[in-house]
Amino acid sequence: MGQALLDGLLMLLEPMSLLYLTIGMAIGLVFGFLPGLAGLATLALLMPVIIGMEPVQGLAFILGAYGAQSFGGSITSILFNVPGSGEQVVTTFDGYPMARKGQAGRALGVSAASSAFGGLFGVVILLLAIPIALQLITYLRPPEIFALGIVGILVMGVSSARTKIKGVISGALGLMLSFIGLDPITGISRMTFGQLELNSGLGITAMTMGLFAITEMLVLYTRGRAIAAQAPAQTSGAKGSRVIDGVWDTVKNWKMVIQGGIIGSICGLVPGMGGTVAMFGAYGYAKARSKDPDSFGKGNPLGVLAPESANNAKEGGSFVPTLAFGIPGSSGMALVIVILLILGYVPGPQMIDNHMDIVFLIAWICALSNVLASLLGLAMAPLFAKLAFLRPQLLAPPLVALSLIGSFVDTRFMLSVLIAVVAGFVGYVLRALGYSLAGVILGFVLGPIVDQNLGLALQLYGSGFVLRPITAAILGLTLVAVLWGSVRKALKDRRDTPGGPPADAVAAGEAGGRNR
Amino acid sequence: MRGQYAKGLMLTGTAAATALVLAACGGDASPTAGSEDEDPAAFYEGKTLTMVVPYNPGGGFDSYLRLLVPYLEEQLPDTTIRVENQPGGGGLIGANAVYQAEPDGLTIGLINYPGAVFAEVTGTDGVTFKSTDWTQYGRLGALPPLVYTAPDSQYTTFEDILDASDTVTFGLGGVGSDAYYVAVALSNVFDFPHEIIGGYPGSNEADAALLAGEVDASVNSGGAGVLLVEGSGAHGVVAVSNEPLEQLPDVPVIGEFGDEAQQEQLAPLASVYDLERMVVGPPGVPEDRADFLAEAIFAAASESGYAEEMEAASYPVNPLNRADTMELASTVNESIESLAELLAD
Repeated sequence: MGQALLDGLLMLLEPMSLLYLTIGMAIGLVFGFLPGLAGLATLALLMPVIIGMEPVQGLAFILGAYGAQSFGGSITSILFNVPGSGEQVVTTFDGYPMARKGQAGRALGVSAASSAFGGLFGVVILLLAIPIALQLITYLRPPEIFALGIVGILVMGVSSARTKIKGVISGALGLMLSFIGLDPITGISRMTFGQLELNSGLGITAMTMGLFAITEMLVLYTRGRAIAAQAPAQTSGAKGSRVIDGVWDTVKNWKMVIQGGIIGSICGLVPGMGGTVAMFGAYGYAKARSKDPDSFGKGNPLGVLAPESANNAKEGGSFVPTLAFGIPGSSGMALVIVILLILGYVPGPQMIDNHMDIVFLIAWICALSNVLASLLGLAMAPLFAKLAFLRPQLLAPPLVALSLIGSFVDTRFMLSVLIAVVAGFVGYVLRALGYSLAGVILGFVLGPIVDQNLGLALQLYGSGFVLRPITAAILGLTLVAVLWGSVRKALKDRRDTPGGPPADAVAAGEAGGRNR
Repeated sequence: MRGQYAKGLMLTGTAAATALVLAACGGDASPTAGSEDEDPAAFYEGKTLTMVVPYNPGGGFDSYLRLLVPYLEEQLPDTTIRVENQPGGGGLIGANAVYQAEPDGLTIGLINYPGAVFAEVTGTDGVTFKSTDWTQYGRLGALPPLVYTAPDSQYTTFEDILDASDTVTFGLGGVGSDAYYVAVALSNVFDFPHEIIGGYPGSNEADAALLAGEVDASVNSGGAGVLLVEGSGAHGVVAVSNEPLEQLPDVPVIGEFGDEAQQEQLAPLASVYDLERMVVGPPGVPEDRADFLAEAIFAAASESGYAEEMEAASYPVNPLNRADTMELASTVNESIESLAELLAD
């Protein structure tokens, strides 16, 4: 074991492997900047390049690119509200408000540091979890995934709308939009009007590009002031806004980094949970655990930290079923299997027996590319942070173009471009009226997870599935958490402000998109 | 039941969609004239050949065509070859696009032939092609489905499943997928208690469910199924093919089971899967061009370098020339009505 660990590291430390790792990372970082090219597309596009490469160099190149791209996406999420991939929209929830307060540097610091630590944590999990992978997969079945989806919706539901009812409407709208497409259980098409392009739904990339990137650019353009305009110009260099402050935030909150990492790696480990549940779950968890949940959505560093840690830890986790059974834990890993095959390795238990050095090599590549990408990102962050002070007339047009290209590349339908544009304008109106776009996207991404797993759970276990121990525990605890907050608040309100407006309505009002 | 109600809805939808598409492209359905006396080799000089992949870049279908390009360029040195991905609708969007392309021999596509046939016979929304009318150029690969059970399952052979007294549950990624129809057909032909859970997001999730003991059996196309059997100790119980799988020669093929009537019912199913990755063009391509291009494709796909590169990624290459492909397809075409019965759920 120890020998294989060392062998793996030595393979990576050869000059040519390091060179390919660096080239791969540079490409990955650029891909991460381009919405729609991040994530899966990075692997798919680079795959033909590695045919015929030396296995170690090929792995270093392509996994380096994959490791680096997610940080590229974090940068655009934080600076411009433009997520690199669908699930990364979570990073915009607090990252972008931080940028608007002039704390872009700090947000980038949090993101880089928590990505690196989360990624490392995922690698540790990768090494530890292989023996217990089957058990985890056995315990987390559709009923449990359904319960986790419900947690996500309940905990985050009424996030940043001006009133509670508008928050609920936002989430319900997202849920309804998510049901467009083929019914996952029966295969019947729902609300597609005979358009084959709609069979797979409106598309998470097109929807996030529309609701977040395009809406934001419309807001910026109509307001005519830079993203961080209301922050004093010297803020970005001031104490509390610098990159190093973000790193310090991460170190201070190491417990949350680990907790996010655990959520992420479990989501990676269990096929069917994936990045969406990981990021939304970690965000919801951080918010539920917070003493000041209302500060989420307004630029709380923890809102960047937890999901970023989870997202990077997920990758280590999703290697586990790939290596242990040959079943990919995420869609990205499905491509990694093909990559391993191209390079001459058959994923599965025999790999653990015969090629443990390659397993460790993969772990080392993931670890090193995470740390290097973050260091690189940190070095460039002060420069990038200045972009938030750029005039919208210069910033908006290229970002809108990139977002539309990203929407197209994801599905290759012109319809996706149209969906993004429509979502952008609708998002602008909804925001102006005080609805929560985060709520809409939350309903949209968690809708299919809840829908599909509820159907599966009912088919497999009947309505008694709610009594499965883990399902019952998750649902019960959520109910208590949700109710406890309201009960405590009600008691407090009665004591503190008799007759005054409910405290949460005021707080939520401040978070409303337009007034801030 | 729910399934039947769904079918009714689907048929109505298909009729409407077909009518719309027919109305939209009624104008340009005429075949290109005046090509019979032209030398087909001269025709392709300086032209661009578009190869449509009805799935996303990076997947199996994409690899079959992209890796073929350099070898095909050797055969057609003066022709520009372009690969175009048109994913969506479970491959129907790309298949429709090929079917409706100008029949000049410059647009071909690699389609999932069984998927296309099943979509047509089950009346899936949005099918605008007729499986009997494609211009067929040949087959690049056959990836017959493999039925497998969990490593610790009580069913370790197909006989065990056929003799089962408890319900055998099949877990599959996606209602209407090829694998789904295998489970439907087997449970329609053979009389054993069964339940088909088709709602898993994909075959990976279905495989995880198998390992977790949530379902008893699953089905996947050759390559992926073999990987799981080798990787996890799952039992390969039967291959839906006329020939045993190259990598798992001991797994019996479907023709070895059942009485004569049942074997007759299942024969077209085995044949249709042996045509899995078929190169097709729109109906009405001039014969001489189709023959010329088919020969070039067959020659390119028969290069050993192509097979090696593909097999490294666990995609078996077994090219079949145009004549043999058309012959095999005609046996499927003859039994298309019985297929429809076989797949009714």
